[in-house]
Amino acid sequence: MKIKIATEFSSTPGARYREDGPNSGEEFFERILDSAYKRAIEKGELLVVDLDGTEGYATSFLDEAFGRLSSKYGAESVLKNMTIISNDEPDWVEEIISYIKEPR
Amino acid sequence: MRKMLLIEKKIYRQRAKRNKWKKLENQKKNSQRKSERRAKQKRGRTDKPKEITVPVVFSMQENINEVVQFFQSITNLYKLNIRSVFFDFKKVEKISNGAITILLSHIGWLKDKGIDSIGCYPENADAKDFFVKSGFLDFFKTIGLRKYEKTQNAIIARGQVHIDAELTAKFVRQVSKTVWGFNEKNQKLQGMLIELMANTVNHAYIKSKHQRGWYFSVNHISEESRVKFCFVDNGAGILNTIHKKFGEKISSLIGITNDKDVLQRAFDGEFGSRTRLSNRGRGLKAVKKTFESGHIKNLKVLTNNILYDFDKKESIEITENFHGTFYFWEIDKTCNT
Repeated sequence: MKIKIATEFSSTPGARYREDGPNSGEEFFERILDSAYKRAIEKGELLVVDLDGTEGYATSFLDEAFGRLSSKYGAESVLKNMTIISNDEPDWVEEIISYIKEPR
Repeated sequence: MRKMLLIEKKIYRQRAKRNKWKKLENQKKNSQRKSERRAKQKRGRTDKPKEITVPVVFSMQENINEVVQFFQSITNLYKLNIRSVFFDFKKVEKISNGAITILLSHIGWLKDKGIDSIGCYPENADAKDFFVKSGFLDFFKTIGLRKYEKTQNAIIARGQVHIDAELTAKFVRQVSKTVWGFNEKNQKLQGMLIELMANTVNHAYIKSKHQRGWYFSVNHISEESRVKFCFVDNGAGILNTIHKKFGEKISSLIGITNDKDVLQRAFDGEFGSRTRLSNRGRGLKAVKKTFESGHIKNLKVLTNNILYDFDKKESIEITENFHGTFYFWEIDKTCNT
């Protein structure tokens, strides 16, 4: 199962919280990522999150979205059931893994 | 025994009634006092604008101490009972984007305090040209100024937008056009800008003591394929925020007490990882990473009384305290896309 942020959420992701402005990490988690992860688990599939094609990401967006996913389902489960594609900026994969391993 | 209880209950009810009445009376008195105080303040306000002379070299890079001192004098204005300030630019010979962006942020702060700002243009032709084309005047009503050529230079402020990644992306693409000649995204720059805006919105303010807002300016120097950026907030400043948050714990957390070191460690993300408060620290770390990966150059940060130059890895202590945080950086063809 695959979600592409640029087409399914926004090509201009914002900051951390909804109150910061539109297209926040909080909104992405609540509207897309959480339910997609649940569906992937139910189907026994790997969730592929594609970061490419956007104008760029703030670390606060990634931290909020993936950190919350990790807090909710546990780092081990998320690392086992999800994979990240980021050809535009390969650094983000490592960055996100660190947010998953050390959620807020 | 039963009779006693009934009397006690009656006394209790009477006391409660009396206390309630007293409370209402006090509230009435307090609100009267407040409105009297406000009216008195208004009556005492002087109509004559307070004149402030802008430094001749109005540049953060070339005249930092005098310029910061000038901003400090603006910060003290709210203590005076004035309605307006007149900024005298007449003798100004040089203006930098950073200085006018900070000035704009201070003017916003004065406005919040009910103080209007007016001013005049510099007599020096180059300074006037820079002043007019910077985007500064978009925030004011202008008199006696002929229609000027619209440039890509701009200053945006929170209030016009909150964090609008779409608008930021538009600015970023214009930057790519000036520097590399094509309308292309720059994901690292985009991420850094959102980070700075978010950092300001979430962490820069201690209660309502400071103006909530940020000002961001871009200055395109097309002939050199170079763009200069400034970002400023009038918050508490990084160092004051850290001191307020961690106080005496700083030395036990990271083993240092020197402000220069504290600032450098803040950009290393130490206050996020060591305190497990991850959202406090990752933003600053991301700014440093964008510089280290060569996507931006000549990054300087002024906060409170420390100016940190990322190129030279050097901190300078300035004489006056700067209220807030000021970032300056550049992008040219030598930077990574």
